[in-house]
Amino acid sequence: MNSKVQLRILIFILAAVGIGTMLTKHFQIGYPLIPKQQIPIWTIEAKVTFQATGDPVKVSLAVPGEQARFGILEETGSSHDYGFIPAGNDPMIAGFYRSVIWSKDQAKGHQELYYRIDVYKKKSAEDVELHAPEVHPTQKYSVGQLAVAANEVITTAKRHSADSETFVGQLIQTLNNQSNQNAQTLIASAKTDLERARLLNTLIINGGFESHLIRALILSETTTKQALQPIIILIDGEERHAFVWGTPKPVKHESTLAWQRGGPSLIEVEGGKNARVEFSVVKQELPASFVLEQASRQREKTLTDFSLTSLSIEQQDSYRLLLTIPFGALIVVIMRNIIGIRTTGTFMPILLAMAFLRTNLGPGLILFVIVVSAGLTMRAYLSKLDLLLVPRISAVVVVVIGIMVGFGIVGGKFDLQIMQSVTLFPTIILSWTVERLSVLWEEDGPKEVGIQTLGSLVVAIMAYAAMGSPTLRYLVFVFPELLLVALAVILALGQYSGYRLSELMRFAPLVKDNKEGAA
Amino acid sequence: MIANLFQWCRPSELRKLGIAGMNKRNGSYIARYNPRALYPRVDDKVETKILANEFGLKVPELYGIVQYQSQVKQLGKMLEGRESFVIKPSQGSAGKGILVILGRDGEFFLKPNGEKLTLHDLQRHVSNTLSGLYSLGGRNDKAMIEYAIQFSDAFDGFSYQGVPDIRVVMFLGYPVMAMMRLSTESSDGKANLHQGAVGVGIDLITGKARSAVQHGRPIFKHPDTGRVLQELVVPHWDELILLASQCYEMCEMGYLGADIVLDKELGPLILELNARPGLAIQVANNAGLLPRLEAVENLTRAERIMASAQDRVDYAQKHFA
Repeated sequence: MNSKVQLRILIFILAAVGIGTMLTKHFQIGYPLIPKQQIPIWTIEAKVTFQATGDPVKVSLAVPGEQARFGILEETGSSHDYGFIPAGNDPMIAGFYRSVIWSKDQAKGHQELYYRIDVYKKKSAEDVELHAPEVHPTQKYSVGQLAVAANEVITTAKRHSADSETFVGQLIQTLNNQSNQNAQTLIASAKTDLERARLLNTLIINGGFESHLIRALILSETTTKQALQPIIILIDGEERHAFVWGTPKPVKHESTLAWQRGGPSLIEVEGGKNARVEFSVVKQELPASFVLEQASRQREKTLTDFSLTSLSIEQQDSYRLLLTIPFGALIVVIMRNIIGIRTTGTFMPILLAMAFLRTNLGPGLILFVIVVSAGLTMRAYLSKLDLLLVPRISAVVVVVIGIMVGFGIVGGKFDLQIMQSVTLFPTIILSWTVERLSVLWEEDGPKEVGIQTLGSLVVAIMAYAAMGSPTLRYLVFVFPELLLVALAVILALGQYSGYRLSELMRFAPLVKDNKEGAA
Repeated sequence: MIANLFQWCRPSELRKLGIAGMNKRNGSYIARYNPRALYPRVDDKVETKILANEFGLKVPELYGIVQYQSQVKQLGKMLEGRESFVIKPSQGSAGKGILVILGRDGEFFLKPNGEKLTLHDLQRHVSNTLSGLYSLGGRNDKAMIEYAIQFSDAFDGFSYQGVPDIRVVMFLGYPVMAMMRLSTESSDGKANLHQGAVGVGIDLITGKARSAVQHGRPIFKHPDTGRVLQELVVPHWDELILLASQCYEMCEMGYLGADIVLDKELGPLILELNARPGLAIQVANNAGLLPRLEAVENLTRAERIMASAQDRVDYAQKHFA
């Protein structure tokens, strides 16, 4: 195959893989493309209290799993002296019934257990495969007077409805009807909200439709002592409708966190009594990148397993810088091959940009000008002393360090912040620059030194702007596959055989001459 | 220089003239036709010289090589009896580190501009050369001491000191363009256009001047001597262009620049070869390289391979004049 075609295919594949992976991460996991985006997260604390009877204690609390609209950041159970078994991530069970277990060989008196979970709101609802929980309709409504009343209510509702959704609406309306004898009989048997929800759920199932009961928290602002709300989820094909007691229309359930879905009861206590669960919710906004880093660690999906976010903070920091270098290189390619700016050494501008990143641009530039001029003067003198190349460069390094230390001391004395940003890293780069420039001075004269220094600085400042940009740093860190895109662009630019911008100036006299010749 | 900033042209105009840009030269010619492995043949001038001697191509005589710092002390001995000579780095680029000595004055060595250097200065120059100051990438290098060209009277008044040389650019052995490089006061006797030397485009048939530039602008008179450049004619032209063409067999580089000098007695000599000849030759000739390069590229393989150096010169003189 023709090498040009190969290259084009390669470029296409690299770009497609890079952009594709990035978009997948964006849309599937919800990594935002803009760094400063805030994501609401809720810290929910369930406080379990009970009276221990002095026997071995085992407390099992139902806890929420990954859901279509909410993801889990972190969950912890804390209780003095209790053994704690966290909720598993068994895919068959996860999502509709998870529970944590506290246990202790012996306890007496008032006990408090805490379970904490941080959930974040996903950018868009995602399909989480949730198995419908097994349905256990209450047997209470299938015998005697209650059964008759239930059947009457179901028949009435059926008569006035067209589909499952209107059926449930009718059921609720009938049950709301104060003058309906059957309804009053049923209500009289169900005193609490939970029992009434169970009643409604049973009526729906007996009416031939599919539904289940969840107990949910409505997440909005910070609240304390919130109780779980029983909600009936009507399954209508692919769709889910949420109903609450007393409202014949489906309610919106965007901010509903299903705490428990089917399964046994919310809390089961062995060796205790009077168990109560209270919920308090704290809402806060956190940077999206932070939230998603946490979330990806929590879910341990293959795509994010290899993510850089699993590294320690210090490692992450150096990778952030490392990952931006290819974009500095991209800028060098553009400036040299498309624009045609002459620079000292091919990648010197990137090194300078990295030095500027350490010192910040303003101080970096000042330092550059001062050190380079002082260094060049010094170097001119050293070259008269018949030194060999390596000792001479080393001598320049020493002189440059001396100059920088001098600035450090002066800066410290006068409390100039800018002078204190000097580090080892830019020192070596600056010394090397001094050496390169002085050789250039000897061979090509001061004009060439001026042109190339200016060129290097311009490119370095541009690379600095790119490499220091928080947006780019965020993007390459969260989407390291952007490196493939950078590579694709660099490869594509490598094919460019057109004129450089500077050549339009360089060869202009030729064009002018030929025109005059023709005229 | 400043005036240049305000003069621009459109890419379409350059394309029409067939001007080759840097990217085109690097991508379509140098990268494709110059195998990396062969670069030492041109980058290392000692190797070039050995090859040229093998192929019977004329080069300035090599007086000696200084390879180790310990040999620097013996430089005086090595130069004994030599009135004029050139010290150059074996792997220098863009004319860097070339020191020309044209005579002696007691213990002093005289540069072309009359500047006096001591043996000590020469030793320092050689020492710098060995430590890689002038070579590509700062590698350790060798210093060569060779015959200083006695340049032909034909160029009297056309050059301010230094040796005027003729650069012939060849593609697959076909001479495609030629220019003469005249040193000036501002180029310190060096023949590199970007250091301020004058470039004179040379007609491939006659060896006569076509047009001339300095600092990228057309000029008509030598800036230092005032001689009208149009009067310049390169003697021994046919011999010179044939010598250039033969370099292709010697080093097997597709896109090649040969720098040739005319010695008063010895005639054309290969000074050095260049695997990355610059594009200024187009400005000097007031013509673009691309149509010529493409013409050679369009020749059949048989035509190219069966052609002798003389055939290639004939072809060039027929088509590229």
